[in-house]
Amino acid sequence: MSQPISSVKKFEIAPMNQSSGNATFSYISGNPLLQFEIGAADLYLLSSKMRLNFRLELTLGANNAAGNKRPNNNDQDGAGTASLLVNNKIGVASVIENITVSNLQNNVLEYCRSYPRLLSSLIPSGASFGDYSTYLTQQFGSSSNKTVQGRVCNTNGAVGRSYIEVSMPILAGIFLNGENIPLSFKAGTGGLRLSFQLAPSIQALFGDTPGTTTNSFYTLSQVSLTGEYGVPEGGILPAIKALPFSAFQNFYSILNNGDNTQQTNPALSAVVSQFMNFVPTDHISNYGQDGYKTTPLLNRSTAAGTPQVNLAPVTSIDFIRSGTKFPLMFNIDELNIVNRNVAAANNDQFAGSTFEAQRQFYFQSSLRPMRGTTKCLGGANSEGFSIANGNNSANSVTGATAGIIANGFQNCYGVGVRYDAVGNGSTANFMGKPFSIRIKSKLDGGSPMSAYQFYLHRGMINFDSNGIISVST
Amino acid sequence: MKRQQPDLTQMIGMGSGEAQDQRVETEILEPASVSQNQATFLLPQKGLLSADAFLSFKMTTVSTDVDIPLIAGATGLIRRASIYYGNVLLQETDQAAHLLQLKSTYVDQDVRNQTYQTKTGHFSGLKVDANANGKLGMYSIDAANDDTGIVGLTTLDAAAVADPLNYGKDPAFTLGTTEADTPEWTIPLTWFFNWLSQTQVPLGLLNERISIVFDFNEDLPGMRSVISDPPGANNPWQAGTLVVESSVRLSLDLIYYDDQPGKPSPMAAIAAALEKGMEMVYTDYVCVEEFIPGLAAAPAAPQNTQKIVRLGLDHQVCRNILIATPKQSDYTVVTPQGFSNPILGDYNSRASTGQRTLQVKINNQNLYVNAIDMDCKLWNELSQVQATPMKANIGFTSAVGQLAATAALDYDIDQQAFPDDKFIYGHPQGGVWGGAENNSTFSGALAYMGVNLSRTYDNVLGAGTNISKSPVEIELNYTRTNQNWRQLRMLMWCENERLMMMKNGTIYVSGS
Repeated sequence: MSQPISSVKKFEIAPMNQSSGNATFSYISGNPLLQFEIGAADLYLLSSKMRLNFRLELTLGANNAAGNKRPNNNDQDGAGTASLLVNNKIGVASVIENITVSNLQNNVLEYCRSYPRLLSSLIPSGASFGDYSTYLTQQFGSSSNKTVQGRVCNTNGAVGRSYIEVSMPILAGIFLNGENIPLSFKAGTGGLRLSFQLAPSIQALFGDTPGTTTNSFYTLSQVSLTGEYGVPEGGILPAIKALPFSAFQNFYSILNNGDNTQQTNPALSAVVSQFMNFVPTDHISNYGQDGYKTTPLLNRSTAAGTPQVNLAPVTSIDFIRSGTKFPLMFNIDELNIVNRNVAAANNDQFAGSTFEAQRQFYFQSSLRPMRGTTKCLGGANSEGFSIANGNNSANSVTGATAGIIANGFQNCYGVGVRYDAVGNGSTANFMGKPFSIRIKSKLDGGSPMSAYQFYLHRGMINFDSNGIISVST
Repeated sequence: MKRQQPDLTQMIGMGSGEAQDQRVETEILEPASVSQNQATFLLPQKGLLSADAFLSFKMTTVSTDVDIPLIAGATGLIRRASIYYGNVLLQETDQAAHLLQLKSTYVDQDVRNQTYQTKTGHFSGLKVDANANGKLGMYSIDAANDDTGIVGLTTLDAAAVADPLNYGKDPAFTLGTTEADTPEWTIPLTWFFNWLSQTQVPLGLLNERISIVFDFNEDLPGMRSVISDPPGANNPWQAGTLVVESSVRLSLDLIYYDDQPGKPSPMAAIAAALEKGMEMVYTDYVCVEEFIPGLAAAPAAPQNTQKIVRLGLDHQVCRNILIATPKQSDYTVVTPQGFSNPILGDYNSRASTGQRTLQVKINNQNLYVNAIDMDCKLWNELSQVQATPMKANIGFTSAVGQLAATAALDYDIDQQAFPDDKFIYGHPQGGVWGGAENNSTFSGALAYMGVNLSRTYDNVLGAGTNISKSPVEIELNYTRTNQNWRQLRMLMWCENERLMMMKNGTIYVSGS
């Protein structure tokens, strides 16, 4: 969308629910909500310029060996490790659970649930190791691997300016394409209200020193929303009858069996793509595990504690609409990459399986049209399977205990398909047409995997002659 | 920033297929004059100048303990690049090496890693590293001897490949002492004069000649070269980094469209179109240098310094302002302590270990609702200058998270983004260089600032902000600490719009 803009104005908006002074926000202190209101005016919101800025400090649940509550990942100070991190691929976006975008008349345009799970697929699908070493450190406080994230997470508050600072784009569907959003009541959304629901600390944070990690928490400060307004030529927004927008819709389910069919009824009329990512269910809301990893399907090991770390490779995937295969008229067949060793230690029988290239191709396509993809983390190398090169200097080592960097399945794994296959804006109608996906894998029935499914779809804001808004999806 | 291209062939209605039917003549142009201070080229009056022109040159040193700055590379030679039509200045880029290094940070690290080292000897890609004490999660320059690092970088102690301490450059990328063993560098002209990529310049149809003048930086510590020692060698910097005058050349591609039987002559059609006139918007940089005074001594507690600069940009249309704050070198000192930055030379922008805030007044109105008060916001505003983010690690742009838990805001070597005990050019990449030297390492060395004043990234007339008679006022609050209290330079580049018209063989420009 290209609208004539005569000039721009920069804005900075403080949360409307902040207390006076240097307000802080956190789940543990009972104010887990950031709410911003962007006024209704004859202006465009330049959504590509909008940033959520804040400082983040992590605090341990108990004193570390040095007698304070500063995380000491990697044993950086030499006194003994006290581990506390956020996921390194999405950084501090881990602390945002849901985003609600509505107008000032309380019409909800998008309710973006499980935002970190969305970003954990969305960001790596368009970023390289170089990006994780450069600008993503600034935007999301994310980093190239878990050890770097550990150093970054060793925060200690204002003394020593020891916090993570970010200026974060908001990747909700409505802002995803960087479009200019008209804000007036008569010819626009009627202002915007952005509500960021913060995640429970136990979900956002993790570490492997239970004595200090448990009951740890995070705190946000210096929170603001910055960006630019575009002033339309003539100072008045042109009249419109409808305004198209994009949004994400999220569903949650669990996979447990080797032949699993999931069915959802999204009731969406214009779906661009659909994808899902996975994490062992035990890892959710667990101080001991990273709940925002996007692991392959995993079975429980027979090692002590029965960790869920044994590969359970996918053998075939079918995408189905109303009982017929759609849009692929064939199943994604990965059976030939499955290698089995029945005598493997800890019952890790399928560890030698290699890279599911066809699954990854359609998954990557569902996140970004392939013709526009110039870089992505996901690939045979980054997935850390048996053909990876084991380079510790990058983030390509993803296995549970590989090298000196134990990232623990920091894969870019998922399943998905794009209905807008050639990237020309076409969509598929799922209104009254249930979606289902059949995944055959080597899951053993005793290892539940949580599946977070996202639909990227288009909606429409309609205006009647009285300025009344209705939203259709 | 990608510019629209009012291509000459499109002006005369030539189809894209026909436009491919061209004859290209590559010409190696010797300078009209060249010295250790300046090179001047007179472009030939023939053909259409393609955008793919570049300057090439070699430099030699008197000692292999001296090499070009790590990121600016060979661009450190170029102080100023100017292009003239007859006696009319079309564009001038002053402090060009600083500006090119700043603008290189908008380029993907992967692209820089794979192309910039061969063009200019630029190395800036990072890998994950640990320090020698095993502190994990730091970044080092991406050197490795196992083919995983940047081509051109190596580890110098081959026996310890698995955990190298000393990084350096492959000899093929280091300055040599003779013309025969020193590399040749190439800098695209479009890096200095972006408008050359907007159209082919019809050299053969102009009444006067286009000339290009490169003024060279002096042969002083940190300008053309820095110390490149083995660690602990402590050899001083030596003068004598000289441009090989016989190697200074321009490579030009001149395009011709030959007449086809039974068809109108394309070159005649282009000439006829230019008779009527061709108009083009382009940008020029106004460079201003100021200083942030040093303190008399290292402060016991952080102190704020306020610097207000008024830029006289009367009636200009300004698209953006870029700002660098490198430490002022002491050019009389030939040890690392005298350098602005021992690894990067003069070409850096030093972060405060305390807070910086930036406010800009245009036409007597504050540009920002509140002064930009966090390093991440400063980075974000700099990233708005172009349509792509500034691509530097947060360890390069800010001291946040790298400091000890003390009110003095000292660096903490275990928390720094770069290891203090791993070396490039013999200098530590991280660490604490406070005290009398008050010198810096990689930490906070690319803390550039920028102000976006454009309403669009398209190259259209009036894309920037109209400046009235009131000066643009830049107010920078910069916290001085015992890590950073010496005098700083404050370099500012204002990208202003110009209008160029080529008509009747003459080039007219506005505002320069």
